[in-house]
Amino acid sequence: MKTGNPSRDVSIDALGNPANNTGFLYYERAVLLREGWSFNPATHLWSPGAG
Amino acid sequence: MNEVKRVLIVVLSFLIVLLGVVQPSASSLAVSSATAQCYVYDGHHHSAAWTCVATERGPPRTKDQDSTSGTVDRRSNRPSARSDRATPPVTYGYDNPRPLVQVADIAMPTEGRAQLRSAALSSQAPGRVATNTADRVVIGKMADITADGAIGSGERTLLNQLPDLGSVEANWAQNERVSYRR
Repeated sequence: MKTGNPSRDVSIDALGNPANNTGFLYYERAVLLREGWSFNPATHLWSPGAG
Repeated sequence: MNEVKRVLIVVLSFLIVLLGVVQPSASSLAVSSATAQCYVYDGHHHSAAWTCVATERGPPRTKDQDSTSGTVDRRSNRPSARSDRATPPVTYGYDNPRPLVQVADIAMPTEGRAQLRSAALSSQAPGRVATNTADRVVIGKMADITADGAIGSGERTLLNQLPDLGSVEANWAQNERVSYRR
């Protein structure tokens, strides 16, 4: 997150949306959203900004 | 009457002796008179100035072979206590010089290359790193991350930085710290 490099999320459902939203993964995704990162269902990448 | 006078004389003499009127004997004076000594000051007396003159510098050129007193030279000057080890050690000559061979690059797994690339990029400012860099962190549930084919080329996980610390709280704090730093 600090480096700004996109991260790929591998815990996704059939539609490409984040799945298994529990535990630390849920917290990590929440922090990404709070820091202004966005998720792209097509690429499964979390990127800083509106993506 | 004479007896009374005699008793008085005895008592009077006893009192005189008791009060110290009588001079002490000469033997008791001998001790104190022997300690009285007189010194006369006749000037300063200094010892000669101490000088150190070295005839040579560094370690001694010759070894003291005749020394028999020190434990330092005991091993080198005296005959060996192990008479069965009197045979000199065997020496081997180097008779097969081989030229240096240039080896090919060592094959490194994808994750190792990614880590090296990550180390190289860490010296750059975060804002100058391209967004489509190959150093991509993969997040997700443990089962998804460790599944076959989950990690692609140029991707890496943070699992090697997340050892099990033994408690949920410690692991959570570690995850938070490493996740934010990535």
